[in-house]
Amino acid sequence: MKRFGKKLSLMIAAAFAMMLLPGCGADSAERAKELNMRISTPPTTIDAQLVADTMSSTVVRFFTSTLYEYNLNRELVPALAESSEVSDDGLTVTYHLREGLQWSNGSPITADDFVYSFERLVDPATKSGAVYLVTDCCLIANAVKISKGELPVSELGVSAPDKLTFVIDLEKPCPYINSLISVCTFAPCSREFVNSCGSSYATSPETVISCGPYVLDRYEPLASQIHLSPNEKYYDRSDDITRTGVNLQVIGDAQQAIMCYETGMLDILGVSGELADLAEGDDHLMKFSTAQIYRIDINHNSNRFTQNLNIRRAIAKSIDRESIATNVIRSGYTALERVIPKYFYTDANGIDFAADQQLYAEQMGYDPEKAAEYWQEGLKELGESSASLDFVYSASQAKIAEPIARQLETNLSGLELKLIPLPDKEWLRRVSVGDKYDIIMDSWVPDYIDPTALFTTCLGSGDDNMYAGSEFRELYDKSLSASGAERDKILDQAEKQLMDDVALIPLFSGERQYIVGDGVSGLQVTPTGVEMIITGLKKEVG
Amino acid sequence: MGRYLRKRIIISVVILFVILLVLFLLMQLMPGSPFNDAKLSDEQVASLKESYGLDQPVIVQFFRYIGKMLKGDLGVSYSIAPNTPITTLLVNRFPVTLRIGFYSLILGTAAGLVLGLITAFFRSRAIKVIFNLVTLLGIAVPSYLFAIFFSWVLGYKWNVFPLLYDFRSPAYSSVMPILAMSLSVMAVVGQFTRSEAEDVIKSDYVQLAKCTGMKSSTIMTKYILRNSLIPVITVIASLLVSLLTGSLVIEKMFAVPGIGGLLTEAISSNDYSVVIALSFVYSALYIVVMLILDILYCIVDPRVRLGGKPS
Repeated sequence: MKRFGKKLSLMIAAAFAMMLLPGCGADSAERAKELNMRISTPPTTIDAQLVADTMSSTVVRFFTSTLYEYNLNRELVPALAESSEVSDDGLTVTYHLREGLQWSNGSPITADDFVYSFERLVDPATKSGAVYLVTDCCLIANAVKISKGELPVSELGVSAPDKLTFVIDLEKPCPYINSLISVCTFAPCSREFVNSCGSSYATSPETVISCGPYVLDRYEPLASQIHLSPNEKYYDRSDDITRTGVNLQVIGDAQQAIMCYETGMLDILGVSGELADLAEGDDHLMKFSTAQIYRIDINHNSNRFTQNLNIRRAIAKSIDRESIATNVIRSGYTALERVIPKYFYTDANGIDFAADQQLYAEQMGYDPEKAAEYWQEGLKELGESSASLDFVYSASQAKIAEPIARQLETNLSGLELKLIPLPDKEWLRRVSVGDKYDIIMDSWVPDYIDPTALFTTCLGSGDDNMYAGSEFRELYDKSLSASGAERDKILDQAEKQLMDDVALIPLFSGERQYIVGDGVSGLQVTPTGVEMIITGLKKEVG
Repeated sequence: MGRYLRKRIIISVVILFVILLVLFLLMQLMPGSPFNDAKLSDEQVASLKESYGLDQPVIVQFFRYIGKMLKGDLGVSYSIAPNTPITTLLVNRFPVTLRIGFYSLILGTAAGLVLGLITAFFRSRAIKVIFNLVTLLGIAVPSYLFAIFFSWVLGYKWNVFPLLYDFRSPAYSSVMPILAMSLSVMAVVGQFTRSEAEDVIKSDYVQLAKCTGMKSSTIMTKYILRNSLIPVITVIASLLVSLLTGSLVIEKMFAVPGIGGLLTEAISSNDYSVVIALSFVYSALYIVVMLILDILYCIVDPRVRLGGKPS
């Protein structure tokens, strides 16, 4: 029996010794030299052509590069491309690649890598959730048919006449194509490398190669820690950027993330909600405007109340956006009274297209008295004395939707709102297909920098419940083939048309907020807010 | 014992088969599909379903799955890590959860045994009060509160242990999750050990041993410890399964790349194949642990004979 007791204690001691022996405390010094950033969830994929969510694109952006990219001043500049030109009819775009570009494994980056990347995106076998970028946002020749499996991938309108020239053929002109293809989905992809990896492509550091500023050296699917090192083969090796290793740490718990930042384990920490409220006023808090838009979409087809222009006007003018943004939501949102937010699109003259946010104050500005007038007029036209509307929103939007509902009911006498909070997935389905709502909270992040990116949800077919104004449609189509100042004028008219018709009710534009540690510089996000700009990011140690 | 084992294994296989069937049927009842992304076209969703065989009748899917499973293939993830084999996800994450769960169990059990035995043996009022306080806290306070406490004190204030799990020093960075998870184990094991040991101490054979002048340490290890172990083993077994399946909150808090987070992620994304595979692994684990427990009874207490035959 004595032996039994001894054995047990020995086993326990050995087990703990085995556990504690390796690597005690070795990590903190190493970590301090690197750039440590929090991501709140693991990326779904690191395959650039499959990326369709913000977290995946944040990670993939570190080791990919595209033909055009946004710089730290949020200007679109050539990256892997040296220059580009568009044919007179706007249907052919030619990119000239930089010379001497290399993958991280030393093989050359050629125009065929772009051809393959585009083909892979559209190929139905890839099953990419981002294929809408080339079938809806722009229309590359034959992309729709190929994506449905009706034509072979080789028929896609992309080609590589020589190693340094990449050509895109479009079915419709796409004036914003350089912005569209700046997202990481359009990063080049080596045909030879993908074939050599087979189905395991982009599932481990060994099965991806880099054309971006960093090389992935630690990753596993749904990893909680991702590690990257500087890419020695990256084309832009400017002396002023000495890149260190990057540690991307998944931290779901916000409180833990704050403690990590305070103890120096994190250098960059994205914050929102209560954490952002707490950080308000801190010197280390950085805010970036984005084009994440919150707005109310309206049922234009199957509800007689919301089909009435005066009723829509009354709703639009009953919402005190400023007071909700300042007093209720408190942090991360700016009141928006037009379709296009500030700092999003720069016009042909280099001026912010939406600098004047009061331009549509008459249609959208808060004015309860005017709203009540419109409301009574609308009810009179319909021969009613009261109205009941279904207000649908995602449960996670309750913080925004509920104060709006209170204001509407207070300012519009006789209005009864039935609040319908839904789980995210069902809300997303209804808002995407225009189903089962009178009014619905919508949250929208555009994929590229152009006013049309925020117009797309107003292109209803007439069969659904979305807005389908013919005059607006005409202006929208016209804007695709126009250019320069003339195009800006058309876009201006199109936005005015939406506001005059109260096609939708803009509410807020969002901000991305980060707490940034000492020594970190070059943090920036693209004007859409979808991607981080990685190229200038650096950390200087002590 | 051999016959008993054979019987148990056959029953276990049947149970696992039924569990799998029920899981398959339940998955069909879940609203939505793994492909809820609004950006996927109807054609793409149909093509995805076709390629994963989800367009087939449930029964066909079920037997296909069984066939693959017998070859060690648990399928691929549909949505949380598209096309990644589930075995890869498990191989990466299971060892982490296993290691943290195992050490929590060892630490908690050892501490619980020691505390329980000391309290029962010395019968001091002060010790009893301290014991009751510690075990009550351990049972009543959820482990994530301990996790917050340890993070605050050991991680943030004193900076003794890292606040997050780190692949570069997995052992060192596992200390706080282990501590947080082991406290409830310690409390439960301590309570059981104490009440059982108190009964054993009052028994005739211990009294006799004392009368013969045997050393206290010998009485403790030779009589009290061993005889108090049987009910404790039962508790440990059930704790073992819950520890090995990972604690979602602890994993989330310390960013541990374990199995608990994987399951919740899979459930919220309707990733059927991952949910089914994990639930199946959990069930199998539970059945195996219970079988081992029965065998352990037999070793610890020779009076217990499996299979119902008299010894």
